[in-house]
Amino acid sequence: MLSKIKSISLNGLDGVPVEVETDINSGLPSYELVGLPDAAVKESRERVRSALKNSGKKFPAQKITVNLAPADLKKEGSCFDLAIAVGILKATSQLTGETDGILFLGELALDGALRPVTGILPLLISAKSHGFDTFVIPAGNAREAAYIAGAKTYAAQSLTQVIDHLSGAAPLAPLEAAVYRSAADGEEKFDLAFVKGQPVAKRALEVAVAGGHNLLLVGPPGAGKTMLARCIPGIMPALTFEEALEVTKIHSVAGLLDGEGIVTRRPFRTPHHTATAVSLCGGGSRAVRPGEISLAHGGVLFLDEFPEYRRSALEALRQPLEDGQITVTRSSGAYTFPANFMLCASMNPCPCGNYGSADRPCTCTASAIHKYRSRLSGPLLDRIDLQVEVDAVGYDDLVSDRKEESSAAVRARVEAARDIQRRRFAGCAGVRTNADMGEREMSRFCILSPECENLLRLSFERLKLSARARSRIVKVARTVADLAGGGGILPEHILEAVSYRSYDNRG
Amino acid sequence: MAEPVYTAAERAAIAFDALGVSPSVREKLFPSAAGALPPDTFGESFLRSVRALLPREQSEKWEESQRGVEWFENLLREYAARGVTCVTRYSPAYPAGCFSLPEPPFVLYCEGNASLLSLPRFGITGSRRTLPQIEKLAAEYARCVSRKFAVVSSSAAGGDSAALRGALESGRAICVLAEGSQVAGPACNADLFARIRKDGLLISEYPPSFHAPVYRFSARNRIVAALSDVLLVVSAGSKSGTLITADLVHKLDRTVYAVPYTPGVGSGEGCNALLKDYAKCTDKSVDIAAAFGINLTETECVPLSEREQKVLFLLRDGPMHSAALAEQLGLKPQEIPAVLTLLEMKGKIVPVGGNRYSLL
Repeated sequence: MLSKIKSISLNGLDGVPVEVETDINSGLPSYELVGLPDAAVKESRERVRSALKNSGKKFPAQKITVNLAPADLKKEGSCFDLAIAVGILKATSQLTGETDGILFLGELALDGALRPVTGILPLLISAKSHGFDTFVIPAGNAREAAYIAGAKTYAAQSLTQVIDHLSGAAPLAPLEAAVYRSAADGEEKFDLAFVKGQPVAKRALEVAVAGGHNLLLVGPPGAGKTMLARCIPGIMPALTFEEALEVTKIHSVAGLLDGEGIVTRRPFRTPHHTATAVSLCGGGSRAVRPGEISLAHGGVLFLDEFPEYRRSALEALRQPLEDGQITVTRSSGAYTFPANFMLCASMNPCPCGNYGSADRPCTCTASAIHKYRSRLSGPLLDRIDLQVEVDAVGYDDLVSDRKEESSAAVRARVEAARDIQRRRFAGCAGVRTNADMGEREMSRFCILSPECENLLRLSFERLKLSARARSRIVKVARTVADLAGGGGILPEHILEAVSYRSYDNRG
Repeated sequence: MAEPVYTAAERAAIAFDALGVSPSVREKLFPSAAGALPPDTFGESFLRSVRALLPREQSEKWEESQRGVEWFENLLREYAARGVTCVTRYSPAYPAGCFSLPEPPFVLYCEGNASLLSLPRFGITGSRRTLPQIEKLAAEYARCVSRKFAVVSSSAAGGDSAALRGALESGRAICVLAEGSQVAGPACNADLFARIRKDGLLISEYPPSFHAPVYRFSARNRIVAALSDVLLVVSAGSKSGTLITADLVHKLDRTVYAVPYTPGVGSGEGCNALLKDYAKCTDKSVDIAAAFGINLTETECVPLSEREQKVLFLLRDGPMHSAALAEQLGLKPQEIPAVLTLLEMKGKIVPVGGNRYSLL
């Protein structure tokens, strides 16, 4: 007898519906699994066999052929176990009840229990777009799946529960839809209130986040660069539900959800400087997985010790920084992952780290400093709008009980500035923040008075800035003006923006 | 560019350089009187007699390479194509000061505007580890004296290249290299060399593609000294190579100026030692302008706001952190960058790293 059960396979961030066809024929007992399965799918035979036996069902001693259609798509992972088991039961008439229009996902344990699988959220979202609205999934994925609105999702603990549900012996109740609540309402683990001193750097952080600019922190070891960077997610606007879904999709595929239903905090990713271009951008020989830049989507990618990263890894960041997404191409196809992140990089001012320090002398020669800094290519630095020096905090600053501003207060100002930008760019496709502005938007929204124009020209002459810095200075000045209420760009806004380009004017 | 015409003596000097003939052999071959060789001396027979003087091994190597008059003519054409002029001991343009040097260079390979050598020359030198504010000061001095002098300095990073950058605004920059002009370092000055090649003058005692050993790098200082009619030392540690330059200039009976430093500043100990010994003191470019009759009428008077004057007043006691300045001025942290950037643009202050600023 033949049975057809629906499941879905992960392909990048999208799902491709898969039909599990099971045919049972008389003949010598055998089990044939076709349809380009990988090792994990092939091994499902042993799991299904034991799970059926331990759930009180029979594994037929006949010739079994299982086909995963479409046959030319590579299938990977353990999420087809449940569909195969249900298919065998259906084909051997051990299961009554309707299975048409139901999508099955889940990994089987030998005792018949259902284990959670990765990528539930993107799988169900894409199943919905393919017209499915009834899902049977492992109970371990219930929290994540509860955010799929308008679907009947049944979460089962075991294969027995699934059988009883389908036959009507013990129907499960569909999952209740969960209500999204952003985590930003609570206190931040890393709060600016705990960062002592550093007024210059804190201000730069605020400007960078308000305008969606990338940021480079330059300072000696122990100056608190990492601490400052960790505070960035806390001053970013709260994740909206749509953003949260998108972030959760990526984290779900990467298997990083860790039992949480949905990501409610903006991600903060800190890959080590030995990271390769592939680990940053995504890839893999078997299944293509999102890289660090996609995991940082909607949040912050923090690259500590920026010049220590491999040249190839850093240069690979340039295109996603521009496009907000990355397309990974492999022989099996091209996969596009979203990668709209804020880049925050940090570095020492020189190899010994003490350049510019008030009390520790720098032992580096000029050419050593030059060599260290020139590891960062011009085109990459071009994409970093703000460069600020972070200096070591003195002991007095550390122990002072002066009240520092909390992240929540800064976030309120950031959100006000973002609001102004949202209204401004309402009619411009693809532009959400000042940093995204192209030449067209700049000529519309960044009109400089003759006084500002003069000041800008003067600053280029006197401070020997490179001509490429101009548009970035204007964009940052726009953000500074937005933080001040959103009026026109004033001379002091230009001057503040110029002060964040200190690493451009050497040579 | 017309190919320069060299006399026989000049040709011989250039050829020996290219062949790597050691100075002691050269001294034997050439009578000390410049240009004493008759014009027809340079030829195959002359080269043969030179070969006879060389140690056997070197002589055999030379013979094997079959380097004769033809090879040499090609070499001269190559130099001319690269824009390199050779000023030898026997050329009228050879700077007189060089004769008083230990080991006067046989040939100075000049790339760029060789006519700068006919100007009076002002040497400005500083050590590699020069404070940022002093680098700006060196550039300011260079700008000032380049109205009347050609500024001479070496290719080293720090004070020397800062002075050359200042002088380049008028194009009157003479840079003495430690190696051949095509291969000279340091790499961080590559842009500077390109600009000097175009507007100023690069000088080396080595042929264009010659890599000098590192221990010979400080030998360029003697050429800086010989070329400098006056010398200004902007920074020098207690054992700085800059002091060698200063001593050589002093021995030539020429004036040495030095910038005074606060006690305890490592990069100024040598300057203070020079001041105690024989150097004249200067801390502003105006001093030099007055001493050499340089007209400074063009300097503009930049108007300063009351707040800016207060910043300058606060900075008189040394570099300060921008946060401290904001506190003293009663400004919010986001207001101070604008004030400081404007002052920097007006050329009054300079960032010295770590968000600290110093007076210029």
